[in-house]
Amino acid sequence: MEQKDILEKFKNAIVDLDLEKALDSTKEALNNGVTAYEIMDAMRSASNLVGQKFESCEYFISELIIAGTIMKSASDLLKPHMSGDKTKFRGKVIIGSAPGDMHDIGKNLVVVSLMGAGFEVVDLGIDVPADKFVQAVKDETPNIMGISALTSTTMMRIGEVIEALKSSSIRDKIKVVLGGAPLTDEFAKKVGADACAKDVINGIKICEGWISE
Amino acid sequence: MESVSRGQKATIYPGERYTPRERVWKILEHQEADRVPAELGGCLSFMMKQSYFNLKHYLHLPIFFKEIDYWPGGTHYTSFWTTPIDERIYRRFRIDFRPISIRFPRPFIPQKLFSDNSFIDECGFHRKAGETYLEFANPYPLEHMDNVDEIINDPYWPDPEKDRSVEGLDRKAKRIDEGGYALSCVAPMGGVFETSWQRRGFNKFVEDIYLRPNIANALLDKVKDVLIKMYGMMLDQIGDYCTLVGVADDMGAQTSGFLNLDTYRKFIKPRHKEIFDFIHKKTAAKIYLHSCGNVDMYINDFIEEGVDVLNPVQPECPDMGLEALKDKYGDKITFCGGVNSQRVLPRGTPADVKAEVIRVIKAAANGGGFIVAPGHIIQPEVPPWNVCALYDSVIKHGQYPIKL
Repeated sequence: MEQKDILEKFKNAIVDLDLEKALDSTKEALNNGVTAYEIMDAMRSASNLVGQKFESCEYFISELIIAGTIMKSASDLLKPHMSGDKTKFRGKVIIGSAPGDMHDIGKNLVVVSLMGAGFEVVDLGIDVPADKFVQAVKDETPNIMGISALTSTTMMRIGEVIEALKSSSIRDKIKVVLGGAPLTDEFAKKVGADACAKDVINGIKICEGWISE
Repeated sequence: MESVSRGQKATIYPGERYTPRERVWKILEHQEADRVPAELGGCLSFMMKQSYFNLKHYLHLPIFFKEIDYWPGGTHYTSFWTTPIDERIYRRFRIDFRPISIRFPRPFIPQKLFSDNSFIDECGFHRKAGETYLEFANPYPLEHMDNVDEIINDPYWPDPEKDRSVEGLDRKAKRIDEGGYALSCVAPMGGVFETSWQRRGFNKFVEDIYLRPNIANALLDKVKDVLIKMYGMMLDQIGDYCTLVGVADDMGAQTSGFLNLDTYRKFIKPRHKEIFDFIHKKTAAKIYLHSCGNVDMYINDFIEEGVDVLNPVQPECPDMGLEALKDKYGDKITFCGGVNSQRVLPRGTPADVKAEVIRVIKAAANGGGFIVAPGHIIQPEVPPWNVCALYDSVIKHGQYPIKL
């Protein structure tokens, strides 16, 4: 089988949510001399197709989770084959739940979907204090920060994270995207964030848009 | 505020023609009554402890020792899920429903306590106190198990016959019934989907469904068996008195459902149906399903399963507008909820809340089949004057025939 066909098979396996086939074709691709970087590239376009199916209501949250699981497992196989300048991420995102917010189902889904879309992601976890976000920006030098909040109470503490970025003079260094059930564009604007993602796929698109600017 | 004594009959206020129970039954039969009923802590429409205490202060009511939890930070926790509402508040807001749940024969203590103050609760969930809720904590108790036997034989599954009691439930139910109220029977744990992932971890359980269906099926069946046992114990005592039986199984996120319809029909629907059929055999009561988020895609299936009332109908979610839902399903299911609780209740003025109540009544109350309630649990920062505005507006503007 030609390299192109193997990559096509790999892509279809992700879109069809077939873990076994995806891992087999990852190994097959590596054995046939396809580089890990090319496989990652195919994974990005598969991730994009999964996103399109979500937007057209063919796929739901559960399918995004499975696609994420498959892409993570495939990435694990690729890791030993990636080195030096060939490991190209599209951008770096740090992400965490707002101070006081201990919910992570949505955030975790964003993490795996961003990874599938080719981003390097640093997950700060739940209930992340403002100073931890600030320190992570200094340590990790990300392009983007994602803040998640599920409740109308905890969303009010997103502002303190953005204020902390401002007082540390690092707000201009990154884009900030918010996500979570009660959040709106209006709220994002009010607290000084750059965008509000209405769902996972919308969030990925926002990040992709910033990186390609 | 009027004082109340135990077992006191419901007050029929000027302009009203029915007892609360009669009113609710008319509404559930899709007929207009004297006024639109309202729900708060009467079945599965919740209120957080923090806002509840604020409300009590505002109404000059004392806070009882039994209402205070011992979790750090004033975190909301009640093992019975619904905040027990002071009878005087029920009456002040003219709530027609009163809940009953299975009891714990002993005071609740964690099944297992960890050094970070997280613990395994009475349902076998790993919990940790956050600033607002008692949250599910990582790792999930069954997350790292990889065979069915280990999962099914985990020692922290609730065993209703051993750990729960229905003693005295019949006397309490009879008292509520004689008072003229609509009695709700509520299980103190969620349905098959949410309990399965709350024990196994969300992503892990979704992976089970797709990649390890034998584990998903075993988990769902285990939860189903526990629930059937629990509802059976309760309904054998109080089935004759019940108007509603509450079941909670969240199937939606803010923008869409969790599972695609085929997967839902394969894994969840048969178990829902089995539980609801079992309940219907034990009582003439209606099934009240609490299922958060955008669940529009499942509503026809809910109806086929035997669901009679859907709560909380979150208006902020796409596809969950009351007008459209009423058009599509209004003759087959009663909606309970619909009041904007992500924006209007926490941050609106009482006038905004009043306008919101008028909006939902206009949208859904004609012809019965609608109960006013918040579109989600009333959050800690919701000011008490907005809670009052909600229920006062229902009393003022909910008179049938609706002329708004």
